[in-house]
Amino acid sequence: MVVGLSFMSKVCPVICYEDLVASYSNNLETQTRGFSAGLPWLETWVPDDDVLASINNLIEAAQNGGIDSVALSVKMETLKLLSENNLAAHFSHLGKIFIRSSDAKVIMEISDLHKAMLFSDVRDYYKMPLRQRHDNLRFSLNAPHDAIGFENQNGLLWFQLSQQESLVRGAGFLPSPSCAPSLAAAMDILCEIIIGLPLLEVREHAIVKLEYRLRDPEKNLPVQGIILPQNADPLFLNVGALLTGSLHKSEVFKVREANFYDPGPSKDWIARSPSDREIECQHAVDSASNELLGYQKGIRIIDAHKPYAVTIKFEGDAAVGVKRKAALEIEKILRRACEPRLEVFCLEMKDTSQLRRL
Amino acid sequence: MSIAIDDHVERLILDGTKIGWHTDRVRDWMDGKRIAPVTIDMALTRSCNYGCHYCYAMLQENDRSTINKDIITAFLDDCAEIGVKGISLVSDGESTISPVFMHTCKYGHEKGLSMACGTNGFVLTKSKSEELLKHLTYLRINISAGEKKRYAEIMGVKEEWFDRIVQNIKDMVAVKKRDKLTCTIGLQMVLMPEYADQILPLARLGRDLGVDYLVIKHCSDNEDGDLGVNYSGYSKLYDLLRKAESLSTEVYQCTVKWSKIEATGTRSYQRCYGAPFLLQISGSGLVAPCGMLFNEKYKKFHIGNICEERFKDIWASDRYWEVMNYLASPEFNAQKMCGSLCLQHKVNEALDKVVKGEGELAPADGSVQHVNFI
Repeated sequence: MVVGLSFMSKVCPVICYEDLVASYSNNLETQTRGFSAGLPWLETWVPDDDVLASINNLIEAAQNGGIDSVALSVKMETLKLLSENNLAAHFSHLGKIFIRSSDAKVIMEISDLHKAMLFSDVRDYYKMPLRQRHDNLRFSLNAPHDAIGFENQNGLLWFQLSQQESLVRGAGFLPSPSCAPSLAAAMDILCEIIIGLPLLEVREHAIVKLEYRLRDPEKNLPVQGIILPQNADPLFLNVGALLTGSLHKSEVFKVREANFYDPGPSKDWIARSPSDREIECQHAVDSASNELLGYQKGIRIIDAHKPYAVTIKFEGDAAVGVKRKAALEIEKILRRACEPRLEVFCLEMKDTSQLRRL
Repeated sequence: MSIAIDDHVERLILDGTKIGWHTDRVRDWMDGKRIAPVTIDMALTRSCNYGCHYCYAMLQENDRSTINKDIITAFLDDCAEIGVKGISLVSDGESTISPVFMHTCKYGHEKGLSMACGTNGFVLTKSKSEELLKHLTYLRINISAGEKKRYAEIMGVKEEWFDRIVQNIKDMVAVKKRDKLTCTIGLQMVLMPEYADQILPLARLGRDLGVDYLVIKHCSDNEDGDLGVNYSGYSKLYDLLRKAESLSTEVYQCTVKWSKIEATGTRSYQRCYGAPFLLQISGSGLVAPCGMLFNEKYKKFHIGNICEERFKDIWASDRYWEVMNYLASPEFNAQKMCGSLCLQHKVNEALDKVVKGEGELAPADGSVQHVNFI
């Protein structure tokens, strides 16, 4: 995400990245003791042949050096094919980013470095959504008299149940003074997630949903294999302690029935005619064609008569691997643009053999 | 609390999961490592010489490729290298009719993999059994009737094929005894409620043939119910099924997969965690997390094809883990988006409890047969 901070360069002079690297290299050859990168707040910086890693190190060095904002100019030649969006996404966990291009250079302004450091206890994968949420906590509310709550050293989590005691109708989290900002933000989002859910669904899937919601698709995955709250980040253990503690104040752990909760498609989506749904899905696919891995000219929506399903057809030629990847991408696009519960299918292939009959 | 993986421990686990004997791999999975599957269920061809009415493979059509000797050899090398433990030749085709079937069993065994096969058994004559059984952990014959006429009706073949099968099974049992082989020889009945008349004849036939077991299982269906399995019809058969189980002897185990039949096609969990432990490959070479997702309509879940790429590269690819992670995420709901009672069902149940914190997967006590087929 790109956040505008055009005023910043007025208070923070723009540093030329290439000059800094040249100065560093020169100092390496001329200074034996008391080596310095050239600026007092860059003591921990070491340039890297990988320009992204090098700039990342530089911003972190600024953070460690007590600086709250940095402005950097980098030649496009140095950045090679990296776009402004690539850069913004790559450094988003380090602070607020504003990027502009000028005279074959890219000017990057990174601010709020002090605040971003407060989230250094969580992986980069989750930092940006947490930092953004911390600017606007919506559920930091006192508990009503009928709330069920649990308090530990990090704060108080409470929720209210509907009269039938099956649905969560209200929730809040009051962080303690010692609560990490990352946890306060995560709990705030958790409250938003659980409101409206059956308590059994909260017990079984609230933390999985929270972990998924906090993912930043631009960042490297936290693990190589399967991402679970248990291996994703210690943050989720702290969330789990508060949630489990509060749920134990209810009867939900005595429930033995299976949880079949599924929100299903929205009423609005169900109410539309199949042809309207097809048109909207086709429009969404066409609009997002640049995301479809080079398959933008040959994908047709051919059926949406079931409100949860969309059938697509690849009309042009493409490698089968491209089609596989595109099919999953289309589902993500349609869920984002049309209806979160949609499933994408390709055309079914029938078994035409004589022996196996259906 | 420790999850009671060993609730069903008998001489053979026919109604349960053996994931509890692989806690090291579960631990690695929980730590976010890229684990190799414990078991791969696959076929060497999509074709079949039978025409069973309940055949799920009819719903699994996808672009066909031929798995030849070079491809299967490289595949088995890759499996051994990355740490796969067992390969069952079941999946969506009759592997015994592939020209590379015997080589696959022999070479896989030589590479240290546990090999097993589910088959209609028609082409496994005595000379082939003599060559084959020493390489297998188990051989399971799919036979859904105990009488000639009904066998032909249910399995879509000529009546005299029943006699051929019975003879083949007798020969297998004799070879096993003669050569003192450890290979388990079993029968499997895929039960539709309308086959109820064959439950007891088949249970008796299995006992008389001298096989090690008969397992009676539900019939799976896709999420649209295309095979028309009437799950509510199973409850009327419970007395008959218990009677069949009572025909078990000291050397013959007749087991009903109660846990799946009583589930009436439903699942208690929504995430699919089992696929990285129990992977499926179509007889076309298609690698997909689950056999229920083989059809072209599920292309979004298709990962690669061993006829086009080395399996170890497919396994190490980001695409493989992207699909596996999708199934484990809130984007996916196995209760709504899958067919009924898949191969990974029991593994999913156990792992779901672990992830939900409802228990730990403790190392299971005691030895169990076929441990590499979870």
